[in-house]
Amino acid sequence: MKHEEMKEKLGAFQDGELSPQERLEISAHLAICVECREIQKSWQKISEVLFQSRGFVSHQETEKFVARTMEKIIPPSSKGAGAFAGLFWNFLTPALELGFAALFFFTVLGASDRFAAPDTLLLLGSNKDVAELILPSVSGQGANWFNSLLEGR
Amino acid sequence: MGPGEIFITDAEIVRKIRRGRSALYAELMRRHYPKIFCLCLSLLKDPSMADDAAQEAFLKSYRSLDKFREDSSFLTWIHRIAANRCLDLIRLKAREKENSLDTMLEISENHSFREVESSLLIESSLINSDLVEKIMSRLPVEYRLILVLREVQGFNYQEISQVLECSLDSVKARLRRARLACGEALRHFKMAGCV
Repeated sequence: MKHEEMKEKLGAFQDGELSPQERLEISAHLAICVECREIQKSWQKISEVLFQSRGFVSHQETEKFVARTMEKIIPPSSKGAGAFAGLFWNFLTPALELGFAALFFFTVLGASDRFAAPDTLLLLGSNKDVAELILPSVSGQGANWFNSLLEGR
Repeated sequence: MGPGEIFITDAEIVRKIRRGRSALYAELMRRHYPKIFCLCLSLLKDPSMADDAAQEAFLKSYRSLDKFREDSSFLTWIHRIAANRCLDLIRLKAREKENSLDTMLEISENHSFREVESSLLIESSLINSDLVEKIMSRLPVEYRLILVLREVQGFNYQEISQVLECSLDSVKARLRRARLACGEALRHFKMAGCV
């Protein structure tokens, strides 16, 4: 290779883009050619000064960007059916839990005297019919508890 | 990545996204946003515009994931999209400013030289970052692009050729011309005693 050819390949030499054979030739040339050595040194310095400190992005900036862009890719409203289902289960689950708790409460407490007459309730007298109507299955301790609740004990 | 975590390649993530796991696109952005932002900033020189361009590039790449052929990496592909977006924006900006170009150049030159004069006290081995921007801005955008791909992103010639969609020989020639132009721009400031 001639000097001009070598000079043209200095960039590729520095970038590690030459074949082993070409690398050997350029290395040997650099050892004897002052001009090429100067060109190579000056580019190394330019590269350090101009490009070394460029392009730092913090982790937080990246995360903000990702969140912002993901909102455009999967907008919260377009989660659609998923969002509706979430809302449904959020309300339904506590309601079901409460229902089961109430059922368990009355079933267990009333087990000993399941069919107690409504006249054991405080709601006797004029409200007997109502008591029979609304509390047909409340009995025993359950009824006592209900009485004490009404009495404010 | 923590111990015990399994590394998933970009190509695998792309395949999973194509199968419907869109949320995984966040991981691709996490991996490549810093580089893409840096590329856009180098070309547009405005952080806010660079951020917008990076976002547009990621959105466009997400929407065209089906067109992504795996003969190149996702990284070079997204670089190509981002670079094209930036070049479009620069052309648009240039057209907008066409009428007042002479005035703009005058102002910019005067401003640069005032800055050069005021930064004479800087140590000779260091360059103030604004001045780096000035030197870079003296270069045509095609040169800036190829220099950033090589010097900042560390791409090899093969990857650069994929981003720029040109041959390896063309990459070598363009890079050589860009380096020469960069050396010239630096000499211009050197003469002012700044570097």
